[in-house]
Amino acid sequence: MKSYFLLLGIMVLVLTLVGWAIAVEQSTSATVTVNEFISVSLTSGYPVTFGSVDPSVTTDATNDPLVVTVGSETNVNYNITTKTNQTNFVSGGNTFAVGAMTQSTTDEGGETAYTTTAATVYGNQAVPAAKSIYHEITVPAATPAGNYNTGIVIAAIKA
Amino acid sequence: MLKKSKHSRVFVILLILSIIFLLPIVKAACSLGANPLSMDARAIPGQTVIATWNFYNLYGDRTTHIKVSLAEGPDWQVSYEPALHEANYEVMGVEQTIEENVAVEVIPVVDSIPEIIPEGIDYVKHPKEAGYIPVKPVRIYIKIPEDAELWKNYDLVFEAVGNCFMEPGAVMPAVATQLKLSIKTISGGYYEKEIPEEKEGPARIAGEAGITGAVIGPLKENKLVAFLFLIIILLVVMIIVNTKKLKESKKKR
Repeated sequence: MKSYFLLLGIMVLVLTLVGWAIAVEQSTSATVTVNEFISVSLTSGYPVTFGSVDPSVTTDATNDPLVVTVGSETNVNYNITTKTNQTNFVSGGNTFAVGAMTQSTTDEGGETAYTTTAATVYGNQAVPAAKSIYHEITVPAATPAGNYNTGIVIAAIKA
Repeated sequence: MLKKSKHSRVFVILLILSIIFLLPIVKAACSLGANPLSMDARAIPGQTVIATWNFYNLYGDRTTHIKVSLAEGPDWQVSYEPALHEANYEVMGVEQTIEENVAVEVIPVVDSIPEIIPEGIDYVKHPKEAGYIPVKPVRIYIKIPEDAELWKNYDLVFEAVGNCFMEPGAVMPAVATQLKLSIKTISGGYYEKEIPEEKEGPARIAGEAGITGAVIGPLKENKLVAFLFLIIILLVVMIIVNTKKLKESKKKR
């Protein structure tokens, strides 16, 4: 008799525990973050120079193309963007707008004028590689003579 | 005569080939690398989020001077360590001044983290090769306003611009990259409270007690648990019945 009740008690305990374990479900999630890397280097064609030019004449950069290389450790898709960090080319008190300078991925058309807002030159690139940027300039008519400079910023950012 | 011209042709070919193959090995002048490129954070209004942005220079042939700034995002209080400052350098005999948060010299990948780590340098595992990339970190401190809206995602974009010196008078294009930081504002701790409904109807008379007693909620659905308990009850009944039968059979003897 006693053994009956002992066996019953053990069975009740086991079944209750099993039932509780099955009934009480908890879920969670696992997350992992893979570290992201990107690098951008100017390989050749810098600084961008046009030499001596005449106003109103479209002139290619003398050391085209500007080659931008994204390093092999880069493990994200990336965009290459360009912009200027000033609104004008400056020579003393004389200026002309940076929009007079254009850039393109080939030396045969498709030019985009520079602005101080970043413009995508190469979009959503998957493979780290060297990318070429070609430059042209058309100095506005009646621009006074002088050595004009502006700053260009080449960025590689995660797409 | 014939041998000499043959040798000179081979020499010219070799010279051209060496120039072609050597060109890609020539280092870039100005280089900027960064890690990570995006981050997520959760913070209580009033707290300060600290983001560490690492910079490296694997491919350049000169120091890259890096300036970090907030390019997009809410108008929150942001500071940097090292702070933005003017630094003076002698470049090819000429003193030049530049604004920077940090200057990153050309330091190649190392096989292992050195026992004595130079000040201001950390090491991160190379993502694709064996070895570690020496990095210089810039810490970004973002103070969340006390009155920032709760449970909202705020996106901030930081830009790092790297400048390199050239010979006096020449301007090198700058190199740049970005860090995207998403901050979600959260409340301090978990709480819940019922929002009372506005009920229409006769007002309660003062002194009259409302309905009290235990509130029985809905029975939790778990068919498996119910089934198991049913089995247990059946087993108990079976054992009781068996026990009674046993007793009766003993009495008959």
